[in-house]
Amino acid sequence: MGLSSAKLQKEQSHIRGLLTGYTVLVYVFLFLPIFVVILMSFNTAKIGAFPLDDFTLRWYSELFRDKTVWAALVNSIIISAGTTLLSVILGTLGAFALVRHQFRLKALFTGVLVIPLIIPGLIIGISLLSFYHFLGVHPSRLTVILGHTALALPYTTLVISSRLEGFDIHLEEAAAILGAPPWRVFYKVTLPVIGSGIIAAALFAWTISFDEFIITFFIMGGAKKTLPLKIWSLLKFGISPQINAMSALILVAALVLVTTALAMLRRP
Amino acid sequence: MTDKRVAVELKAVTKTFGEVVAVDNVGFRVSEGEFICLVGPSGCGKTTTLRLIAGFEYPTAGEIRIHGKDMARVAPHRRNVAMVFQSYALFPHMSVFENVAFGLRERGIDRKAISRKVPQYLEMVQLGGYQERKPGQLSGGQQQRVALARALVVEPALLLMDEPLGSLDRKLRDEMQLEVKTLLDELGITTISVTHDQDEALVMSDRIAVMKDGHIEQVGPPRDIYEYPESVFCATFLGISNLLTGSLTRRDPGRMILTTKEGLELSCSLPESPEGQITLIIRPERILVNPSHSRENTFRGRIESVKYLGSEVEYYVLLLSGTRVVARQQISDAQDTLCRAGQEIDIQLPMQSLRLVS
Repeated sequence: MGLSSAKLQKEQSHIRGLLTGYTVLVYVFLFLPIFVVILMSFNTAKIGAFPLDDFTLRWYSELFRDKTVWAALVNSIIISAGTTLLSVILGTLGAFALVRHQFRLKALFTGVLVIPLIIPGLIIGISLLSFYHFLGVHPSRLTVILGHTALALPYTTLVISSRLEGFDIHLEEAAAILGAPPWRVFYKVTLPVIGSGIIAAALFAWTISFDEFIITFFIMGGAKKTLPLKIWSLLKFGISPQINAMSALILVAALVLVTTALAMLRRP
Repeated sequence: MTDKRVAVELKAVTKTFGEVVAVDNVGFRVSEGEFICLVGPSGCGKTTTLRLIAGFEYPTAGEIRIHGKDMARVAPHRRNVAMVFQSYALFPHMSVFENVAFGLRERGIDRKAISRKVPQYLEMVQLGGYQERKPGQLSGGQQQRVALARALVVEPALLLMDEPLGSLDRKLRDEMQLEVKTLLDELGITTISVTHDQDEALVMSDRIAVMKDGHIEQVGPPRDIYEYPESVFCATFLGISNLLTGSLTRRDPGRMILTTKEGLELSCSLPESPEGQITLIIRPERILVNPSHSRENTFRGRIESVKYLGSEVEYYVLLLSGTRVVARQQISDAQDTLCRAGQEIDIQLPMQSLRLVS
């Protein structure tokens, strides 16, 4: 009995060792390339290669001096802000419709909502391009915002819907019967309670728009570049340390935003 | 009742949801300061009736008046009604103070009055010193008290309560029943409460309205409803009753005989002598077990099972005629000998305790 249990324990520890190794490998596979990019952004050598030379912030300061990069950043911020605003407003309205009301074909609407999540970005980009062409609309920030909103809307609607589903409707009734007119009920009770869900949705929308490349590539044309498009155009001259620096910065920003969004969603 | 002012009046109120009739031609009046309980099984329309009075739903037909004013086109926030919800519905993002202050702020009461009244009402529900807590940090009973304070602080014309004690455990519920009742009596506030808990209804109400399938079966003071239920439904919903169904085989005034289906012959004295099948009820505690002098309506039977309840004991007895009855006996002394299952006993159904129901 004692012997076999010792054997069992040994076997179990083997399995645990294997699992640990496997998990580490998966994470290495996922994060090593990203880590390398960050590492290279601090490397003095112009060509990304090991062994590393010296530590430097030169590429970052060069990046900040580049006016075209700043222009792209401003452009990206405007587009992301527009997308966030639009997709959060539409997403909130959509969430209320889906959660609070019964209507015909509701299941269909819910199903259709998630389709943009599974359509390849390439297809969406081509579709939007020919659609805008058909309408005779010229590519602009607005068309990009609309395109990004189509992409972000499923996320914002679903995130806000799930928050709204957990919302006790009696809270609104309690506020109403205590004397609050409908808009005050929304402003004082509904919005604060589902607020963290809305903020999370906004952060998701921002991240989606800010990092988006394919759709933007199709509908922005040669007009003003967003940051990802700027990186793309710089890549034509090979991977430069500036690109590494920019990637590292974008990565950190995205990480902060998504972590905040997840923390918001975990709030009661 | 007639000398008091009518606070709430429902006239032939009906509410349908599609094909379903949730509330069917309901009418009653509530006097100023009165506590009325709507009781009934789930789905009987009691909560819908309450929601109609609150203004969360609008009646399909009929009229609701609060202090004489027709509520047909009045939104909830203009009714000067307060409500305590079963889930308490405390605003989770606000402190206890802000929760209680909410109604006052919406009424445009000035800050000074608010900071005076909120602690006063929290004190009243024994929650002084809890102002800064969030609802999530309070126990169920404490949340219930905050909900009550939040409703009372606005000094509403009418207080509505939907299963107010339904989420509390039994011991706390028993304590709160009396406490809430006393508090509401002191404030003299008109209250309509909904519950499926018969004890709560009996303890707290001035009057009870028993509801079934969307309509009101009987309205009256708790004791009237318990002692003189008008229907089998009321007799069995509030407390337990033994049902004895049969027809009158002798109808001398002052002394009639009911012969049940099983052939049990019961002497009774009824105010009327209806034809056909009738039902009499008797409460278990009115049945005498092994009476010292066996008089009329005494029958022999065998105990099938015994239910010991601490202060009382219930005997499930099969009479020789085949009729089954439940008798309940007070246990007044530790030395009292209780009967056992299988034992034969005499039980008496006193004539004055038999009631005719429809």
